[in-house]
Parts: sequence; structure tokens; C-alpha cells
Amino acid sequence: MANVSIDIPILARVEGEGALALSLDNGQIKSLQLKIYEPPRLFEKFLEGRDYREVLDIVARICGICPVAYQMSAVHALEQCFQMTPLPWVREMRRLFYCGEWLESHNMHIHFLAAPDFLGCKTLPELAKKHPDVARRGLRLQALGNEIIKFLGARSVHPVGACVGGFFKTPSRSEATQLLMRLKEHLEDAENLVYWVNALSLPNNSHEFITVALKASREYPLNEGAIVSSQGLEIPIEEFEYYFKEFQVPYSNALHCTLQGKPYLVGPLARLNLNYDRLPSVILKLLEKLNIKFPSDNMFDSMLARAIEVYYCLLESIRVLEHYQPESVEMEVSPVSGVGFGCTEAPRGLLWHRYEIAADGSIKSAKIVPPTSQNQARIEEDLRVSLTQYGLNRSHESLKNYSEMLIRNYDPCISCSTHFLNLTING
Amino acid sequence: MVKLIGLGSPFGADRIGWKVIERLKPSFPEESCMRLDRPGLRLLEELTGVECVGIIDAVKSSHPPGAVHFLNGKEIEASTLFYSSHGIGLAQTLQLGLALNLLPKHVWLAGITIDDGGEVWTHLDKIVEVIKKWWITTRLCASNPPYKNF
Repeated sequence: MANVSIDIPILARVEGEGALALSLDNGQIKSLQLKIYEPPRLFEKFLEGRDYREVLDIVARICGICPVAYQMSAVHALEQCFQMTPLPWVREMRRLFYCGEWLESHNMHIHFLAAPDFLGCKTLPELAKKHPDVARRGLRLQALGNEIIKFLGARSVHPVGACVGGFFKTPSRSEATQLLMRLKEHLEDAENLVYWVNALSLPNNSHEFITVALKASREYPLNEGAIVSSQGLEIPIEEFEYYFKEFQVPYSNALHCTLQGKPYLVGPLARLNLNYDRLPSVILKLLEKLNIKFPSDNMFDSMLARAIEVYYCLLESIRVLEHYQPESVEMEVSPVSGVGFGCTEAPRGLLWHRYEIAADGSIKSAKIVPPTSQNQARIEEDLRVSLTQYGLNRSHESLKNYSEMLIRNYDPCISCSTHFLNLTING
Repeated sequence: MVKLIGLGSPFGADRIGWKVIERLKPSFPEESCMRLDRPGLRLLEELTGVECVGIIDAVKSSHPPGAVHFLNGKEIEASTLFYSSHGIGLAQTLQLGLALNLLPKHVWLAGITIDDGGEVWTHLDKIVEVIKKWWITTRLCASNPPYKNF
């Protein structure tokens, strides 16, 4: 095999627009570029000069899949700058709010974006016809996530309920009771999902990689924690920029980001690898029963990690709602000039925000580092290793399909990262 | 229940479906009129319990900006007009809904041709008028029991 060029001009079943260009020379990868050509969206600049009260509505518009994540990282940054500590009720409701988004996003990925790869289906309608129970379960669990987001955010897309200090509206006890009942009705769905994903024939592309996630003192991380890595890093979120560096590559509209010069993984597998001991005992017992072990160095276990997180979100939401008492949370907000940092776990991984705020509460500067942008260098690293493991002498079609499956496994959200995929293979 | 749904996003000409719904709403007080921001599969949740739905969305076509294409359910399913940069677009959502028997009996679409510029906005009044006339006739067809477009 001399020179081979493989082009995937538009990646299917990912959020946003991207491509992959792969060039092979004498059976070796000569070049590999994940090209994110979706136009830059300039949200950080839009925020400059805006009042702090506008920030949550603006950042929610960065993504239709993970608006809660953007709102949560932003609200924590603003509150840190204003020296505010969220009340315990607000802290609990923010966990619930975030669980809604993980449920919505993870179930979309597992059932509708990734499942066709593992069930031999080329399209969603084919999946729905051959495996209607799978598709229906996906829709049920996704809808459940949307219900949780609506409960606190008034609507599931670009919710408007969150504000600095808490939430604009406190849901009633009867609304909470109804939601709790619905969640309990779907616990079996969530547990079955873990069994179902565990029974799938997932490929094994095990290799070494660095993982990064938040780690909280007691619970599975959503809104809080220190930034930790599989190589022993443990830093407060304020020190992110000392260790993590963003840089531009000529072929992508999304910045790459490395940890001390090395690619790293964020997202469900990274979270679970680093927070296995934070899972509740009911999940740990199930994983033991199914002989599921983490940490894992098989990237395809991301799918299993997502399923386990779905089960976790349902259990955590039930825990929060079982003791629900409506509380009036009207915190007085007094803007303070300075810098605030927020870092939370979006469905796809670490989402870091930094705001510099003037005394009048206007935003002087904003910096947002989304998870897909952090995963870009890792995706390229994974493709290099995994395609070589897979065998570069395979057909173009086979290399193309496997590349897409590898990329899709990260559930990349390209629209977020441009603030993703056509495949070109040369060789 | 009859619904009129404008699909779109806040960005440029992709807002056209939302704008048309705003202008149509006073003329159809009995319809549930709503705007949705790139709902993907969430559209199926909005179609639960709906008998007839008219969807207004921006499309790419070989016609000039402002040209409106009217499609029934089968035509939507087969169409390549839809401009979705995201994982699951309108056609796929409707195909999935059809496979799972989750769609209303009557699904109709008015697809408004847009380009990368803003030319479509200069035709807004005419677009609203054309879609208004179409919907008055279409919803009458929808109320005629023997007709099913899926």
C-alpha cells in the first residue's frame, strides 16, 4: 500500500459540522486531522459589556443539548466573584437540574447516535424498525430528563429558571411529587439500560490515556469539586489555566487544549474512572454482580459509563425529590468587581468558565473552555492508536466507518466547541 | 388538537420559521402555535396527542430565497431539502416517529428557502400571506377523515 487518502467530509450522527482527513503512506499514518469547520460563534465576545443578569440566558444559547451545563458553570463563576455561597436547597436543586440534562443528553447518544453502530443499523428508522423497544426506551428516558429540566427551568430547551442566587421560581410540592412518581416508574428502564449496554458487543481498543474530571469530597461530581487527573493532578478550578493550555491549529475552528502538553480525556469514562468510589452502593452492587470493573482503558466503555450515569441520575434525582420542600430563595445580589471561576461536569465533560466583572456588574471579559474542544487532541490520539490496532490495510470503507464510530464514541458537540466531521483519507 | 410549529434557531435566516409563526398566530386562534429551537427528537414529545400539525421551517433548495415548498408527510420523509447541521434533523425525526407509530395523522410542512444572506427577509410579507392561504386550505383537508398523508 503506497499513498492512501481517506476523506470523511461530513460526520454523521454527531452534533454540528466536522470532518476527518487521514493520509496513509506505506501502511503508516502520515497525517490525521479532525477538522471542525463549523464557523466560530464568538460567544465570549458577545458577553463583553453585558450585565451579569444576562449571562445565563446568553450562554444557554451556546448549545441546545447542554444549556444547563453552560448556565451552571456560569452561575457558579458569577457567585464566586460576588462572594455568594448557594443555599443548601439551591445546591440540591442544581444537582437535580443537572441530572435532567445528563439524562436527556446521554440517552440521546446511547439510543440514537451510538446504538446504530453496535446493532448493525445504518439509520435511525432502521433502528426503530428492528429494535422498537430500544428506540422507545430512549425516547422515554430522554423525555424524563426534559421533564426534570422543565421542573426547574420552565422549559427543556434553553431553560430560563436559573439565576444568580438560585432559581426564579420554586416548584410546588405537588409538582415535585408528580415528578418523583414518574422517576420511580422509570427506575427499571435505567437499570435495564445498564444490563443492555453491558450485553452489547462493544469493540475493545484498550490503550493508555490521561483522564481528567472533577472530584468532590463525597458525591459523584456535577457542580463542584477539584480538578483531578489519572496522573495525580489535583488542583482547585482557579488554577486550570496554569496546567491546561488552549491553542489554535490551522485546520480547526475549535481550540485544542492539552494538560501539560499532553492530550487528555474528559466526559463519562473519565468521570467514572476517577469517581467510581463515589457511586452509591446500589450501583456498585449491580456493577459487581455484572462483573463490570472501572477504571477502564477501553474507550468504548464510554457507552457503558454513560448508561451507569443514566442510572445514577435517576437515583440521585429520586433522592433529591424524596425530601423536597418548597423554599423561597430570594438572595440579594450585590455585584462585586473581580474575577470568578466556575467549573462543572457537562454531559460531555469538564466545562470551565472564567469571568472578569466590573463593579457595576457588567462583564469585562469571558473565557469558556467546553469539553469537546478539550477532547479534540484526545480524539486525534485515539484515532492514531485505534486505527493502527484495527489494521491500516483494511478497505477505505472499513477505515472510514471505524473512524466515524471512534469519533462518535466521544459524543462530540461541535457547535459547542466552536465557539465537527468530514473524513478525508490520503494514502 | 391542531398545532402550528415554527422550527428554527436565533441565527440569521434560520429564524424565518419563528417569524412566520409570530405573524400567523393572530389569524389562527384555535391552533396551538409554538416556536421550537432545533428540537431534534424532542419534536416527537410536542406531537403527542396532536391530530394535525403544520410545521414551518427553513430549507435549502435550488429555488431563490423566499420560495416556499409545501410537502405532505411522505414527501417530508423522502426530502433532501432540510438543512440540519446537527445529529438528528426533521426528516430523521419524522422517520423515527413514523416507525414507532408516534406521528399525528396529518403532518404538513411549509419549507421556506433561505440562503446564507438575508434576502429572505425582503419577502416576509409575501411568505406569510402564501403560508396563511395554504394553511387555511390544508387544515380543511386535515379535518376530512378519509384523508391521511401517512
